[in-house]
Amino acid sequence: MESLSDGATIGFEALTIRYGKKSVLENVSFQVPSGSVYALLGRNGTGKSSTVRCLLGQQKPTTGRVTMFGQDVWKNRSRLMEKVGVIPEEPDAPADMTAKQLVNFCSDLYPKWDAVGVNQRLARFQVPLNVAFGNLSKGQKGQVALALALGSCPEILVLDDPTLGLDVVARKNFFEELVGELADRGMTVIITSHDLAGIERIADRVGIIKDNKLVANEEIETLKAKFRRIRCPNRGMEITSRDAAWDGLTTVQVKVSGWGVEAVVSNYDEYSFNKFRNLGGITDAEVSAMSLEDIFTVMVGEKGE
Amino acid sequence: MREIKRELKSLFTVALREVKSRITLFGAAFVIGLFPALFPVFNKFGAPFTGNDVGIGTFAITICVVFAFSLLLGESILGRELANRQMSFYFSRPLSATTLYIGKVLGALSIVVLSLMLTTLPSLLFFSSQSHQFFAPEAIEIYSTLTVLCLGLGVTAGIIFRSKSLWLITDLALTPVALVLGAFSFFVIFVAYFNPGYVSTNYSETLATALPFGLGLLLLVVNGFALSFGRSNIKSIHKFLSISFWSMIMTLIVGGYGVSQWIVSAAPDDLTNVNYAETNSKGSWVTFQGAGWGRGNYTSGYLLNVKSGNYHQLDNFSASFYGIVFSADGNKAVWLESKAGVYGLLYDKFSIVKADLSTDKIKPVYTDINVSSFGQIELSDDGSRLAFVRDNMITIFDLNTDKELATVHIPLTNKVYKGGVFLTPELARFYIVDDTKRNKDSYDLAIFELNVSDKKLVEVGKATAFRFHQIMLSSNNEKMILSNDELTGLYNAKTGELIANIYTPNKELNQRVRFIANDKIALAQVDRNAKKSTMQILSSEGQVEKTIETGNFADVYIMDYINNSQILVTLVKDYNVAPEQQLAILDINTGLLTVSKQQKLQQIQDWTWGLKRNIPTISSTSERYFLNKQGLVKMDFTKDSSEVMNSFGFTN
Repeated sequence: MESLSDGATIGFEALTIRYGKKSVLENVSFQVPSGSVYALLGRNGTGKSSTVRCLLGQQKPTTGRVTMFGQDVWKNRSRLMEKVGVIPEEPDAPADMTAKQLVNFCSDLYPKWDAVGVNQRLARFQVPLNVAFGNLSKGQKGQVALALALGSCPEILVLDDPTLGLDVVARKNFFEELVGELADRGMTVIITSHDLAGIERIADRVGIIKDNKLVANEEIETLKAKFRRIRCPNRGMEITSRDAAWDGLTTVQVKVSGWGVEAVVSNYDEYSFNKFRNLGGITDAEVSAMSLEDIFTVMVGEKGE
Repeated sequence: MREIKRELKSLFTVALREVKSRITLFGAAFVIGLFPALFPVFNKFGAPFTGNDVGIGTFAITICVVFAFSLLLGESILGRELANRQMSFYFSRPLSATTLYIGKVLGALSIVVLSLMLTTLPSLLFFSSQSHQFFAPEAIEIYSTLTVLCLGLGVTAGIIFRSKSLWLITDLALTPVALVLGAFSFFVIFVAYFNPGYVSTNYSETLATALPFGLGLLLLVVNGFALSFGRSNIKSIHKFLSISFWSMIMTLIVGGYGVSQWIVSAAPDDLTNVNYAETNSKGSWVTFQGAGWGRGNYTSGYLLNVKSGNYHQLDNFSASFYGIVFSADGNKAVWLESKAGVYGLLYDKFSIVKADLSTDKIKPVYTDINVSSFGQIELSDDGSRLAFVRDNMITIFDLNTDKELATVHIPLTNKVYKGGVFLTPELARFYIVDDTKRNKDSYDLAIFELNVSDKKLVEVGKATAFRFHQIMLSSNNEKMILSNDELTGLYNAKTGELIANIYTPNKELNQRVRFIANDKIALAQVDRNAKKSTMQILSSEGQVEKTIETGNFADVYIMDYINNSQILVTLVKDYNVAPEQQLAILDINTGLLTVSKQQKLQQIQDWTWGLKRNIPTISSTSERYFLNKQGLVKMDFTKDSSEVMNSFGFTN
């Protein structure tokens, strides 16, 4: 059964993940096109890491399946992992092994290994080669993980919250390194992270998980074009109660405060906004673009009044 | 091929990584190994250590190293990394779960083996002459069994105790059950080892090794499957491990029980071979015991009505089957019956069962008694009275009224065995060996007579003889032959006085002996090495009257006598080529052997121990019942013809 459309490298097909009676994901389907950088977002405990484990063939979905290049990952994990580089949420390399030993160990396992690239990268990061992995700093561990992940010349790169616990500088360096690599190689990347500013720099598609469902799955630019924040100074409850006034604009959040009303709409377009302004006589209404972080916060947070 | 090479390379990469990460163990092993090698140093301080002590010490310390290292390594190779969430590192690589697991186990095995070598190295360098102690085949067997068992247990413990899964409750609840069953299995093996008749010692020795090795291997295999199933998730692995392991154990228990029930449920039709058969004097009933496919020694003895085909199962197990006693008139029978199952250990507890063969009525007269003289229950010639020995007591029982007529304590110190014979319905004679006076060379045989009327037991004779297997009485009960495979003596059956040593011991020869007509004695001498056999006919005083060569027959069994001049024998050409027995009539006057044209007999072992009376099992002088590959066959020697009475389950 092949259901991937042309150009998709990774496919999630009717994926359901449950732990006992607790449901994490229910019947979620989406695809990651070849060469894209897909950010899978969600609050803590929404199943991002479980999804990544299913993607890596380390966990069997309750129902549904995950495919890479059209092949079921659970059934063909070891062969598919030849084409996959992984940076885990928590550095998982054996603590007693040095970076040098890890490189040697991994180089024996992959059919292709970019020894020069790995050594150059570790040198650039100034990672000590003969210090046990367990004794490296968090940033250095991440850098070793990145070097190992890219050493096998992967076609798919999976990053599970790779900047978790890193300081601002380390996070910036990490994403810069990643941006450089992506530009050079054209890999398909799937990344989960809470660092949405960093994500916004590198991702071209985004999926957002909420309440066991995938509530958004589109290109970041498209998503950002749909969401706008509208401010109506010196207005009050009369706007929130006048539903007709929002006609054509879908509000996902409305806040009323002393200075006026602020709303977030998820289907912004110029025509509807002008109609809203003119019909209500709200000529001083202002509209502003939103960052991915703002959009994410609005989508997964509680709806305000 | 490329795939296999790549997998092998990955496997050795993982194994090497395990070895490298625990390289400090090798140093520890070597240091530990220095201790026994240093024993002689203590001699300067007066300690009496010898090279032998070094050998034993090295063996003991190597066992400790193997035990501890296997357990610790097993515990850490999966459990630690799974619990620390480091196993995802391996599962993010192009490594199959099988390759990863085998690589890790191989690494652990290599560490244990290398550590073992290093532990023994100091002793090997300085006391190489003692290496037979720590490198004996038995020692290596122990090391390997212990390694596999401890690795299996260690890997399992590493997972179940680190997973923090509720399945641990199931494991802890069922482990005592498994331990009890394991202990029971060991107990059975232990019993088997010291009771060769119960289960062959060959099996018990193999089982003693196979059981722990098999358990370790089972655990290792199940853990491997669990890793394939659960991969980097320790709780999933634990779940799979518990479900599959306990399912297998339960299957083994249920399967084992089922197999044991199938084994003991063998019917005559299931027999493919018969070891023993005997008919009553009328030829209307036959008792036999044999082997069936898959049943091993656990095939019953049966008492079969030749005409109707109805049968009664006498016993579940060949080792506790001691034959049957038919009355001289062929109308009554008694036997010892034990219904011990395959793993029943109380097979020395018997029932005594009587049968009226004319009416097919079968009834136990004693149950759950310890008959110390195996198989030695006797019937009076008219079949009305029963005599037997149990718990140092002699009992006479009336089978018509089902009443005990006399029970008298035997004035001997300890457990007794062997049996007795009725001289008249009122007077029974007993041949008793005091178990405490048995030694490797001889038995003390006491002869008692018990009169039912006054219930007095009188010691009438005594004999000190070699370790005989069989007491055989002449037809008038005046003489007896004591014999084993190598020695035979002719004695006065009442006083125990030696009449003649009728056989010169020669360990190269096996012998079979039997009273024939007129209390003469037939003796077969079998030279198994030369594959030659000879028959001798001796007078009633034990003097050789005639020697008869049997030609090129390697073995000869004396079956019965037909008349004053003819005896029935079976002949074996060559055990290695054709173990079947060929029936023949030997003319003791002319020495002429007339081989029957009938089918050859199954090999019938001369297994009978204990007392044997010289009652011909014949219905007429020309008819006998035998077993051959067709089943139970009635043969007429006058016509040399045969008729199949029952074919059982024989396939040939």
